[in-house]
Amino acid sequence: MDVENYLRKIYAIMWFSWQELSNWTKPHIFIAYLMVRPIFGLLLYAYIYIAFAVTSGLVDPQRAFYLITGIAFYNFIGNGIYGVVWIIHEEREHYNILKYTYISFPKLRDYLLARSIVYYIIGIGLSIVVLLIGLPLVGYNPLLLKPNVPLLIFIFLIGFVWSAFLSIVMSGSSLFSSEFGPLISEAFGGLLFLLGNVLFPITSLPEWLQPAAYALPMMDWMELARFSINPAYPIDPVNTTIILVIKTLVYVIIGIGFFALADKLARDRGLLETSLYH
Amino acid sequence: MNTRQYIYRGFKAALGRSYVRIKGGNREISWLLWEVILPLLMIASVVYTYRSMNAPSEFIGFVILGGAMMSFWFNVLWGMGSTLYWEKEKGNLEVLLASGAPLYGLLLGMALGGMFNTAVRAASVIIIGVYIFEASFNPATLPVAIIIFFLAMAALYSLGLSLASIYLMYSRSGWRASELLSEPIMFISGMYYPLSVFPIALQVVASAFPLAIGLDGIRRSLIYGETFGSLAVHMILLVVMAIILLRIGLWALEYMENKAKKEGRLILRWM
Repeated sequence: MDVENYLRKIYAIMWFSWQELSNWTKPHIFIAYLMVRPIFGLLLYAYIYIAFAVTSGLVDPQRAFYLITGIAFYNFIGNGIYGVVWIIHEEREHYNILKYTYISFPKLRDYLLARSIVYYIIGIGLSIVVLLIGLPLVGYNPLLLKPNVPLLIFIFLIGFVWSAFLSIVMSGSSLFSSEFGPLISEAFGGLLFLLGNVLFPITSLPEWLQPAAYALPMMDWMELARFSINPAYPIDPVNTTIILVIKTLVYVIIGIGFFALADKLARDRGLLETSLYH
Repeated sequence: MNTRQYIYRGFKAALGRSYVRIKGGNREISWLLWEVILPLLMIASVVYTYRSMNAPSEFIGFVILGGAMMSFWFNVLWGMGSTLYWEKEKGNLEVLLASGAPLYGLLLGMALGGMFNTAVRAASVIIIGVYIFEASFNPATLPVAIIIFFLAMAALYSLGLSLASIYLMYSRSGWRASELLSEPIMFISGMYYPLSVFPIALQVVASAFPLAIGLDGIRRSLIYGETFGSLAVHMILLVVMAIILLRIGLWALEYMENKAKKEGRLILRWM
């Protein structure tokens, strides 16, 4: 395989993704657009803690740290998932270009992954901004953090891998459905938010729901992400990393297998041009 | 077309459009299930967060009512505001305009149909929320809550008229504006907590939004058992807002429609 040629195509797809995302307005408006949702999302959830603290008179810095870091790091995963899962719906239903995408770049899985990279890069920026605004907002001094940069880079890389391949599974499903494409994206994001140690520890979930949380890499990833900026965060980092890597491998294999099957069936059934205009 | 014909045609169009909306929105039962389950995922996240903090039980009621009411805001944004944008993207707008039906009629139809559909989903969210999360409400003050609800809807969907006109004109930028209006309104309306936890300045800003006033009034009646007397200010504010927003919405729609016609944007897609 001509690696240089392949990387050039990946770059072109990333550029296309960036243009589709941003060229509707001026750069400063686009940056404001990017920031508004995560910052108000932060305020929305940070006020859960503030409301509790105001009404109960109890202040719990560890709880505040947990909540804000959960919201901050979720931006990375949520933004990336959104980037991957919406593509099929947008390109087939809205812009009617999915068939042309296939013609110009036949490996749809790699195309989706390349399209998502821009979203994940933006997600990193959003996570950092939300962290820096959110911690002081709830009275937690950000200077207490001791970020482990190599671990943080590892966190973002492995987060990209597992969540992008999990999203690939969802995208594969949306090849067969026009109307459920956006719903799949929303539901999937909501599920990770609920089951991923984001706002509360999964031990607060009903027991029947906890196995689903353990089956996802999100909870381990989120715990390790917290540890990467605060070494005092009480987890076993080695064990958590091993579990996270194993789960990531499993999801990569599932993603590759499932999407290959979905892709073949979609081509066989002529679904690439099927649009129901919902 | 004289005023009488204008109003008659508008209401006829509203009737036709709301029928399509209700029929289309409920013909597939799985959509209904999804649209109930999705808000419940977010509601569940916040309920379990409060539970993990051992927060007072009324907070669970706040969250469920907030989640249910917020679905109306999303309907205004995506179901009503974006209507003309979608119609334009799919090539229907030129047909609708050529039919002679006033745009306000189409939007009124979308509002009525969307309100009905969303009410079914919001009621399901509340019922399931009460059943699963054991939220408790005061049934004695239900009539007060219903009046506030309808006043809030009138103001909210009047606001949707203005949004629709923005979409008509600015298409993709309008779409992004709608995305931007989700989290800020969720926050400022106190989706998951009472407005009283905000600083005074933020409470003043919140009182400019019909959803915040409506949600606060409904919570006060259903959770704290407040009656007509103590919620009169909420009702007056909502009536005033509904009148002002309706006037602004109708003006904006007419203005943007004319501007879009002059600039040739009515059939311009993918802008």
